[in-house]
Amino acid sequence: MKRLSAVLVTAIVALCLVFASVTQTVAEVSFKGKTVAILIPYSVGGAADIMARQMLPFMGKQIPGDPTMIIRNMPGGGGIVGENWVYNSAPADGTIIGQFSTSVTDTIFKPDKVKFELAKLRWLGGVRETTIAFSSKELGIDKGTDLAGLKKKVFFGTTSIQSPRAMLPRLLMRILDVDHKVVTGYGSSGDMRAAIRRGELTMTNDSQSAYFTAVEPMVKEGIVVPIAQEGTVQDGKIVRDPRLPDIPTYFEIVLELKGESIRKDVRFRAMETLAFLAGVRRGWVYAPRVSNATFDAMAASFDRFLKDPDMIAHFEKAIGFKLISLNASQAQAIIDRVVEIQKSDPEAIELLKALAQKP
Amino acid sequence: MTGNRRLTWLAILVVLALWIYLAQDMAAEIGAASMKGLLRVFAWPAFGYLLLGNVIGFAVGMLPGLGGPVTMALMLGFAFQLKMDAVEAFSFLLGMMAVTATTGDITSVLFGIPGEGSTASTIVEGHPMAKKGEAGRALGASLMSSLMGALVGACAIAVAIPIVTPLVLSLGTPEFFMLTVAGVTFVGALSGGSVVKGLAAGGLGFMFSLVGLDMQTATERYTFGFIYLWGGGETGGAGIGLVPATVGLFAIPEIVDLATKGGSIAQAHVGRLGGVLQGVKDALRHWWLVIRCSAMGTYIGIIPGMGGPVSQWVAYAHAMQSSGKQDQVGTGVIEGVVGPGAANNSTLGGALIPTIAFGIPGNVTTAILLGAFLILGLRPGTSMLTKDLDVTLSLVWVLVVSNVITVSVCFLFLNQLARLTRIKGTLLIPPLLLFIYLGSYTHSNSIGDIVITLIFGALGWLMVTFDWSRPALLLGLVLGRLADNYLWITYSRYEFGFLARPGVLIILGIIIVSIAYPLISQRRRVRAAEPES
Amino acid sequence: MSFHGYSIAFTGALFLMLAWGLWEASKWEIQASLMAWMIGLPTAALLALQLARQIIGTDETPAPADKDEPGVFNASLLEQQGETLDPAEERRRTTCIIVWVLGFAAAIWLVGFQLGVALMTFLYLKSARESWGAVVSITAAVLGAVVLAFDCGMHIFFAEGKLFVWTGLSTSPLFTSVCYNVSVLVGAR
Repeated sequence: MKRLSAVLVTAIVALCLVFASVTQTVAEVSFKGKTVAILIPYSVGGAADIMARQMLPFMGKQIPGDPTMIIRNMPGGGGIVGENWVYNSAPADGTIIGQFSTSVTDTIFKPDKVKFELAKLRWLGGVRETTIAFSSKELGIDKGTDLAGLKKKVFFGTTSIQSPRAMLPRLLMRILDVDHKVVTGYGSSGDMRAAIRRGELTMTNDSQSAYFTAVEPMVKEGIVVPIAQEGTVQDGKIVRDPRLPDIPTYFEIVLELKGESIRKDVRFRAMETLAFLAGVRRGWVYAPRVSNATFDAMAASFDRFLKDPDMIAHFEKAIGFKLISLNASQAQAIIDRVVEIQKSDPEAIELLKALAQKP
Repeated sequence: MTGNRRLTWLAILVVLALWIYLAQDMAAEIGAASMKGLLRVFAWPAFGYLLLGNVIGFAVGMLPGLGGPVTMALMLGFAFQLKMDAVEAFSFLLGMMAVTATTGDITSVLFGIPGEGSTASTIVEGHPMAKKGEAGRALGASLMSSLMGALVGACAIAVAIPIVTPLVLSLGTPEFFMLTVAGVTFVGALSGGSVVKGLAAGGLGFMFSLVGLDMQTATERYTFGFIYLWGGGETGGAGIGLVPATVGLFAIPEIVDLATKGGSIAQAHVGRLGGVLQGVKDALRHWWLVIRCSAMGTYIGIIPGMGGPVSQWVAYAHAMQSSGKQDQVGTGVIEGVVGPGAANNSTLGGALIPTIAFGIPGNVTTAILLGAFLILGLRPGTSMLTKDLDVTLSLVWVLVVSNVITVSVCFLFLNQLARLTRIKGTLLIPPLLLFIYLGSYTHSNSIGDIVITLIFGALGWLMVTFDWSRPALLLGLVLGRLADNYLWITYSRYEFGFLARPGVLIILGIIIVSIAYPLISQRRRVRAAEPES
Repeated sequence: MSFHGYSIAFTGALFLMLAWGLWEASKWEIQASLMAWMIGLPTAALLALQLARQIIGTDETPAPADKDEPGVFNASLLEQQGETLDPAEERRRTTCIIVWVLGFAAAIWLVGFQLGVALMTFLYLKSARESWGAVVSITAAVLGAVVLAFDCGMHIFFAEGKLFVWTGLSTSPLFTSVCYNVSVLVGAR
């Protein structure tokens, strides 16, 4: 019996080898008969996971050889486990694509746990999204610039002290001398919206997709007002996100109230750094050892995929706003800029690290 | 006792009157939309997808390896690929989710291994019944109470529609914190012989929950340098996963026990399965307990972060406490099967309420459902309670129809299911071990999950041997992380002013009573017994 | 050591573990350690009380002979049926199953989930002297469930076994092509 099973296993292996060699005779890069996995470094059912699962059907058909597309989840360490694995252990044949959201900020806030070099990751593309801070009507303000001279104490809610998203509004309130308290420990942004309704919090911020689906209705109900947006990086500058033309960026508010001289302030520089760090909100990456030919083929596939009108239409319907994507070279340019800032402005980086430890 | 009952009836009447007063404008509208919603569920192909969802949910609930939330997320992509519309998609997804707690109870009763994270409590009383050869009765009771619980949870959504704002927003984080403490004391105080050991086990569970990255200062607590122990999620979270710990605590000792005792699971003669009918009668006889536990389950579902893993134990503690059989914990007390069976099913209905009304998901399951809603173009919020009311009520019907179908099908197969307890242990052990490890592994797809299962397996086995309360430890683990976060939110927001909030004081009173009552009644029983001896 | 002695040792071990936990917490800032103090100190007091009661002998924990609790079958019922288990035999079986439970975990770690579970199922059933029919069918069912349902069907990410990592071999192309051919067979592609 043992001999029989050994024969069976050998037969299967041999069959597979034949199969593999047949597919490899094609000269150009092709993933025919292979499985390409998008590796999500978070659990099943999170925002990143759900987005990837929606995109999957559109992705495969743009990749040469029409491979089977699957999602693989490798949660842990707030994303670090999966990020490290893609960089160090994933196969070099291009069948694993990482979809990262926090790899950029992780290199700053968790340097001793990160086992990859940001500058060496190869970016296939990404999507841009901004974040929006909003405050409860209880504060009695109508717009961001009203924050200056606010008499009431602000209770600002966030999930964890390390949350990079919450650092921009925290820095804004520091620059404007707003009396505020950072309340940490909420499980999700949904919990914080509930806390705002109960009057437990008076300010928080949220992602663009949550803003359109959950916060805008609250604005219409008259419960909250939008304060400021992070903006997006365009041609090396931080500008208002074209999908939210009426909400000013944090930078506009600070410059209007404090004048141009504030640009030299380390807090302002730290804010700018944060906006660049978030330039590629979610990006798809290859490990550095994937061959150039494979990288080029996949980058071209992603370009086609991100321009696919069916995919864009699906997303507009699903998330309620236009998808703005970055191709490989655009994403790489933003990451290069981040790497450069990390080297050139250590003072701003130190301030951000301190913010990640104390409210 | 009669005075007590009269008082409860009075309370029900007052609540009913209040509801009618608040809902008078909407009652007719709810009625009409409810009919429309029912027709949408029975339309083709939505009904076909509902049945498909039921089938998948049936298997997922039974298999200890697969949790409802994980499978639902995996099925999400399937729903997109088939281009289902809104009603079809949630007939499928919710139809699947609605039955996992029902069939999960079956695995818990038969094998002493939790089919779902939210059905572990059914083991404590249900599995001893299976060992005594009463598997049929335990299954009958748990299925019937599951059905009743699901119905109460579904009705709760409809009932909540006019009063949703006060219902969801009346309690704040300070009250949530107090409720976590109350939950652990309920279960700790119950643990059979020794209240001291029960409370200590709950405290240890709290300490285990601290493993991971702390949210306030990002301190690594008890992580020994392993990133695995930081916990998942984009912002950190509990380092010890609920499923690996639950499976370890309850399933590993069962495997050891099964192999040591030899033979099959049922060690006494399994009589005719007429017991099933007896179990159904048990559930009906305890209808008032079922309603109370279902109501608790629904309300716990509304509270953010809590869900089936919490409500089952609170219901269990309540069922045992009110049965007056606290000293018979773990011997197969039928109330201890009926109570949690109802509560873990009603929780889903409760968790849907804030999801629908405010887009605020109560737990992981509803967070995934919310994602699906958004993608399918449904916007939770006031429109779901006005313009799209029929869609909301078709959700209610999905819960009702799915559970009616599943429970009926289960009754057809109960004979075959109960016979599983007579299969030889050696044949069962490898598949059971497969599902134990697979279940814990799917928590974060890491070998670390398996190590956690082994550690908690050893702990669970020792706790069984030396008579410590595993439920209290597990509930401490579930609630500890929430309590830690709630405490800090409370303190940084209100400082010590939170102690003066009326809600906090009321819950504090309940906690004191729940500790004092068993002590007093124990003493009274001792005193009553004295003259005889 | 008697059952009573082991029981005291277990309580003592829990107490020591908690004491270590509190000592560790003393290194953290108050935001991170408050919960540990609030819950840990009363728990330590309860454990100390329990330990004292057990040592003095006023604890009401039932001895194994007359206890009746979750996970352990009521001994009296067994005796009613005239089946009693020799304590030495019971100890041997317990040790045996613990080794198997650990063995399954080790095999998963060493050769990966799919092969590890199948291998251990085969060995376990063989060592239990089951018939060939049962051994083959259950092993095949276990392997089939893991590969077809969980790997191919649900794409659960099974890590490569350490043995393969160390030797530089890889099983994942094997399972990938199995899944691909299955999907072609069932017409999913």
